[in-house]
Amino acid sequence: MIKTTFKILGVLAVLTILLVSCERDDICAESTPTTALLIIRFYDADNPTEFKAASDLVVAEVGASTGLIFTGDSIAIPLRTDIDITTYRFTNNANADIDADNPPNEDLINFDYIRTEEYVSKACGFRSLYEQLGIARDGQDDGSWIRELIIDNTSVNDATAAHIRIFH
Amino acid sequence: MMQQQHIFVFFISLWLGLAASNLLAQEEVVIIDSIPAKTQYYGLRIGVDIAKPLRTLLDDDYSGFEITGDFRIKDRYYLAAEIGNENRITDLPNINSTSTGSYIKAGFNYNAYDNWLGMNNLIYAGVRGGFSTFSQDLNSYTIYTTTDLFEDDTRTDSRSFSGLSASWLEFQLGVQVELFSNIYLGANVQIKRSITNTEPDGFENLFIPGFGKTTDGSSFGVGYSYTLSYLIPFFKR
Repeated sequence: MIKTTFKILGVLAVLTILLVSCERDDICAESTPTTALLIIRFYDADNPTEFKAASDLVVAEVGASTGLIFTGDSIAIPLRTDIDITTYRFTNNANADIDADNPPNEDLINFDYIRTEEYVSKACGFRSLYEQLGIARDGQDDGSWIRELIIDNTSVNDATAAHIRIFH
Repeated sequence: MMQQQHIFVFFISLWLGLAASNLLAQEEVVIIDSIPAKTQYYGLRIGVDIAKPLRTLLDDDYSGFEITGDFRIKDRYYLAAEIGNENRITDLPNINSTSTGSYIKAGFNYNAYDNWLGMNNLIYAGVRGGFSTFSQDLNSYTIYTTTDLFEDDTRTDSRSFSGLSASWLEFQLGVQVELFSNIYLGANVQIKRSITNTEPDGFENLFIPGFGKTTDGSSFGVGYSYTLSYLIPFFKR
């Protein structure tokens, strides 16, 4: 009986440790759809079917000292999850030292939307869904480098296609 | 941290168990030498889970207790049940939630152990149906983003979800060892499969009292208990 008891307790010990140490879902996987980014594609204003990359584009929130730097014709930027409005400075040719002929030009774009929260999973927590996306833009004193802006999708909930087209 | 505490609790209990089996060794000799007649006890065994109060002391995020009982109905079969209450804070990187509630489990045990003369120990397999009613409080949560451009958006407006319930089927593997006359030390592990689970609207059950932690993409739960019981003998056979 003593030997058997030892054996049984040993098996129970191993089982307990194995069972308790199964921690699989504490890390939010990158593949899980969480709060979506706003996707913007840049087009040539003179030839509206052609992509045209923005050069040395810096996107920074108004009042923020740091921003995101882009060079391609497609960018993804976050919208605030705590308020229904996010205002960005879009600065084209931000690095004036490279190209003296095209000085930096800053346009303000104001994104407004309606937020709802949605539960995702244990690891990821909640995400924000954005509906009824609207924009207002201001070329400011240096004029507007953005010629036109079209909203293609007013729901910003996935990363499958561009939500906004900017022509410049 | 939690796992360390689990393991700590476990080894304390294991030590108790081994110490107990030494005591048993002495007891056995006495019983076998002095009472050669075959005595089979039938009665109600009432006990408490000793691991849950211990964990209550060691783990700030947990409190719970459980009362166990079994009743021998045939040579190898016992009706068995547990009732308990658990309160557990689940603290994840993006969610902090508290589950509170009570549960009952009922079923039977099959004793697979062939006792020597005069011994009344069990090595058993058990089946239970489990039912829990509980509430869940979402204490804080984070709106998850893939960017660090903005500061973390963590909400602390607590939300309460009550009137939740769950049921499950449970399999147990365990031992019951008679330490002294009519005093038993027991240990078991439990594997559970969820049958029903009322999820809160816009949230999820992270911990179900009696069932334990839930896992994404799996309907299985696990558990263990260590019991100290007293057998009220009704009759011998």
